[in-house]
Amino acid sequence: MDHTIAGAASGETVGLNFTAPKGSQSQAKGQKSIEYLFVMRIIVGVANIICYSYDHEIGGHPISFFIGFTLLLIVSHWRFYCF
Amino acid sequence: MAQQELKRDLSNRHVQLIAIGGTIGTGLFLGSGKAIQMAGPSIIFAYLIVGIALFFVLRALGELLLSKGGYQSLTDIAEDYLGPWASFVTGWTYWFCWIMTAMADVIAVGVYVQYWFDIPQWIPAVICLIILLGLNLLTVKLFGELEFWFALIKVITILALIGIGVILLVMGFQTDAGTVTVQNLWEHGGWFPNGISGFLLSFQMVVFAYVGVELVGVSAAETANPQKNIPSAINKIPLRILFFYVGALIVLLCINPWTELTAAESPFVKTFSLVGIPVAAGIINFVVLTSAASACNSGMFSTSRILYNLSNQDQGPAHLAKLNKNHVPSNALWISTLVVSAGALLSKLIPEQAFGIVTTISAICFIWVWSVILICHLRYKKTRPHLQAKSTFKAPFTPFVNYLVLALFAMVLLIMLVAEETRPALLMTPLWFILLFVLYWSRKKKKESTKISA
Repeated sequence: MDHTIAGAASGETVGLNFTAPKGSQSQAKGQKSIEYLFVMRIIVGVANIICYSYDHEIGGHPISFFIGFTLLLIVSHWRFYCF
Repeated sequence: MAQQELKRDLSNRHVQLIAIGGTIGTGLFLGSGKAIQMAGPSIIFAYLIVGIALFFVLRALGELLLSKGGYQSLTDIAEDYLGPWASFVTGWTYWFCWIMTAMADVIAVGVYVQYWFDIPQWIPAVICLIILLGLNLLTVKLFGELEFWFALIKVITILALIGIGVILLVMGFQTDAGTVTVQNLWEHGGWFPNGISGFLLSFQMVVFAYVGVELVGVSAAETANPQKNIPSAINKIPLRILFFYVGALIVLLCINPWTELTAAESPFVKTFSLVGIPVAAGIINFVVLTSAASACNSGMFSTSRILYNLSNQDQGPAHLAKLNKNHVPSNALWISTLVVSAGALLSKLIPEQAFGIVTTISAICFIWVWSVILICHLRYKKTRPHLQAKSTFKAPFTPFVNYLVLALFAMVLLIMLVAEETRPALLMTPLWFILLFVLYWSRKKKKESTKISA
């Protein structure tokens, strides 16, 4: 079981009858979102560079958009269960 | 009230073959020329990617249709999972999808007739519409029988092309453009001769080539044994995609290099011209002409029935639900035909761009309908786990594959925005959705005020 702030934010500490204060929960959530965004930006950036090296017109942008949007939807699913 | 009901004269044989034949149409026979010109041989990958994505959409649709017995159409599913606004918007958008597809078919009729006669595109388009309107105002049985045979001709033509292509390949036949060989796939600039851009720009036409694929699932739901027929019909789709789309294109590109094909002419007709059989090319042109006319016929039939159902469900004007003495929804048919005739008008005003504009709008509207299916499936997974647990036809890799396909559709829309040719149509399409939302809210307000005053 995860006892970190992020673990508390995801509700995993409920079994210990302990929850982090509300302020720190939202802070952890924000921190996690920044981490996800950072990783996503790296993946999308790398995809864009690879595609651009092959094609100097529009090639890179739609593909990196596709990768970024898929990741965004999947991360949203894990965190908020979108739709 | 039996007098006021539609005549259900179509048998299972009609419904199934119309669903298969309805999918193969102008997008493949005419649009593939334009897509090949943009993407080169990589068009094969574009057809594969979109085909796989649509298979997952259909698996989601199949699971939804089997989860509850009462679903008759896509609008029922949209209403159940997303609410009445989604049912209204999806129902009318589905009508608009088929109107745009029928317009593209009417424009294609004009293009095909130019193979024999040097006349303006809009004249054959208008003549075709008048004949089809007359046929549709008569009995449903006549429509079903005609469409059955047209769809059969279409399927046989593709099978014949693949068969002849394989024979020519084995023989190493010499055409005006060189030897028939698989090396034609990569020897003229490689698989991606126009880069990733060319490959991506072809996605709009590839999406259009697949429009109507969801009919396979919906029509199987109307048969006597949907529990057996829906999984069987949907699981056959990958084989059909591989055979009718990917197989046909591989053969076409092996017979003639992609550089020989033009956007203005059907690659199927061009192939037979290159082989040196002008009579065969004329026959193929006739087949693709009947294919476009029959697809337009199907479009007029389905749009009139969609309007009739929308009006019956109190989502459209009541007079569109009126039937004539042949039990045909004549008012709905007249309205649909009038709107489709705008395609003939476009052929007159902008003959060069008309096909591109209507196919783009059609592709965007179908992307909406397919996305609604995927979102409904996500809602179903979230809100009805008990139904999902009981399901015997579970969609694979969900929900992640749903997100992947939704992102692919978003990418296709982005490509349409980037491409100069498709941008005006993409920017015009939101007007349709704004109009629908305004109509929905005004109808809702009117109903509420009527309730209060009563």
